[in-house]
Amino acid sequence: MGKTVLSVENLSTFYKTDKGISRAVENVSFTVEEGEILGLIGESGCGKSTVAQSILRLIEYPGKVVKGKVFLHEKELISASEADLYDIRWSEISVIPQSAMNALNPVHRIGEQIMEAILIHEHVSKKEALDRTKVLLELVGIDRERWKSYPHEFSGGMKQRVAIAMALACYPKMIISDESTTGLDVLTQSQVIALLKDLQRKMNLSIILISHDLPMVTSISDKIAIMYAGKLVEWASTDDILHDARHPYSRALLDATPDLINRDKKIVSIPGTVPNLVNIKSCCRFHTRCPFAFERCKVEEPELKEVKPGHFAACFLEEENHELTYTS
Amino acid sequence: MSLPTLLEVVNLKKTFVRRSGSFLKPKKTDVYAVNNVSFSIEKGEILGIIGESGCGKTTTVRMIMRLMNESNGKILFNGQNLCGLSDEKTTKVRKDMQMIFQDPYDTLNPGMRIVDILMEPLHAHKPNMTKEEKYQKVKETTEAIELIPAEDFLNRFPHQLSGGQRQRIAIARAVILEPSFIAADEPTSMLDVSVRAGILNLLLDLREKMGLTMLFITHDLSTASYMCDRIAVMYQGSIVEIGETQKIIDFPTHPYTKALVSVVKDLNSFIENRETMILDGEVDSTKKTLGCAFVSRCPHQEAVCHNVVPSLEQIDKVQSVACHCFGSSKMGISERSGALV
Repeated sequence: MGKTVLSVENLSTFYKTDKGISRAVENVSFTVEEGEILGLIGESGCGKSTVAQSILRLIEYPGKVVKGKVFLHEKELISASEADLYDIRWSEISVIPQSAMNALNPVHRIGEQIMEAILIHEHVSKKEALDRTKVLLELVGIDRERWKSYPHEFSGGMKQRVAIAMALACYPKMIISDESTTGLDVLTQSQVIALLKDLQRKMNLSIILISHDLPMVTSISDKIAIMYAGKLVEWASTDDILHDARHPYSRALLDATPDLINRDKKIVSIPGTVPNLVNIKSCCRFHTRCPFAFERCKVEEPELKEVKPGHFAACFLEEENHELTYTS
Repeated sequence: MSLPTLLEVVNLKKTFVRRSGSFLKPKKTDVYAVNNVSFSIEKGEILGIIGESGCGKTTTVRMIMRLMNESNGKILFNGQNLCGLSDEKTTKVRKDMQMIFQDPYDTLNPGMRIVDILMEPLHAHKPNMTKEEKYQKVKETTEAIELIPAEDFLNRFPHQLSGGQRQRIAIARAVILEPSFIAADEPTSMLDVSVRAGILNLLLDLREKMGLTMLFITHDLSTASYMCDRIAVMYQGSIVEIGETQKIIDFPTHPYTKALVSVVKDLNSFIENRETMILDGEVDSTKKTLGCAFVSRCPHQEAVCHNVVPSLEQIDKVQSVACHCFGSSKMGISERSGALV
């Protein structure tokens, strides 16, 4: 067990809508250790990105972090002042945004944009900042003299690399990659992932890898957290998720993913749709689609409980010792 | 291999012109979107085309569906050449070939009710049917795509349906005329994992029930392996490898296919060995290379690769590949038996 770098405790983020309060993220808790890659998986709208934004305190009106604590090392972020956050962002935790195409300013040279981040956060000369920028570019596999280029001169994969270099600008210990490879071609995507993995090893980074691509995430993460409709439903080591998933949703997700090696596996879709999170009652949010749901699931909300060391799941079946077997 | 061929594409080509340069000195460059693509699909078969974005998969389908004219080549559907057919005749052929598009949010008219959307193909192609017959047909089809009871859905507008339901309606619209051929252009790439499985299974079901032949476009190898009998891998406008799905997965031959398969099969080993699989490189389709399109990213390149375009050669009964290095010592049979995959 390494040192805990980030710990999220009972985080809840709600959005105000015309129809009421949308409980987009509720009671999410997990930790990330030093040098660990945590894969945060879920379908669109399940709250993955909201979690990431809440950690960095980037939630804006109509959203609000209503409850919970986020500790980065010893510092608490949710109650931190803007000035403190200013010091923490970039230098201790940074984010690689979803679409690098839009994250870069089209009218500035990429080198200047990376330098800007360094100059704002550290007291270094321009020359030192430029030198570091060149090192960073090399680190992500871009020729160091290309710092003079503008974003439009790069391809999608290259821009993504620039975004990674930028996230690393102040050598943070923790990086959140918010679907940063979605939309790239398979091979480019895997090259970016390979780069992240390399950097993680070299710099002992901790990474939260947010994605909806289950096979990709499971092959490089140490631990997996699965979210459904704003709740964390299961959090365990990758092996446990793949071979001993306890929550019915985790199992259904695995069953819905085609497998290249086992082509005969019949994939199964999950019936029904995701519930509307506006004014949702206290219940297991998966009960409408769950083949094992019983009375208790409709009226009570399951808590994330440790089902075996290091393996957490939020399901009543665990408590009631129900055997998870598909009867249909 | 005994089944008759339904669709045959011969040396299909499409070039776009890219205008650049200044106003006074305009410059035109040809972009080769699809370059000498040939393949055939047997009756009842699902052929998958996979490749990265911009490799020409969608352009190929659009030409086959006559939504776009070809620059050169032949498309034989049931033996009839579709290239150069008049609009009137094309319309008649379309009754037998339909398409499912990528984005279910864009392809259904937001101002029309589902029933009207599904009626439209009948109005266009079955003028002899009475209104009741048409309604009956719409109802049957809606139930066939597992939206039951149909009455609940028919009077809705597209915005009242979820993404998965919309894609089902798009499928219903494609199959309502009982075509023999369907082209599906990334039908599940916009959908969530839990919904995707349902759509894929529905397409497989419909193939069983209606004896459909399908061209299935995707960028995801595992989806293709689940759906398709055969897979064609495209790279920069050309087919680099085509063969039976199992063969492609077990014994990929082209370096590009190898990289693709290894990424999906075992990402970790790809990460460890990525220098031997593929080189970092930019994809630029305006640059007309003399040789192999993949040469800038290929780790096995030889002199001949820079000068001569490799042609698609059959390596056994069920697999063809376009690579100069196939058969040469470093990519020989021993490696094919699985060392690199």
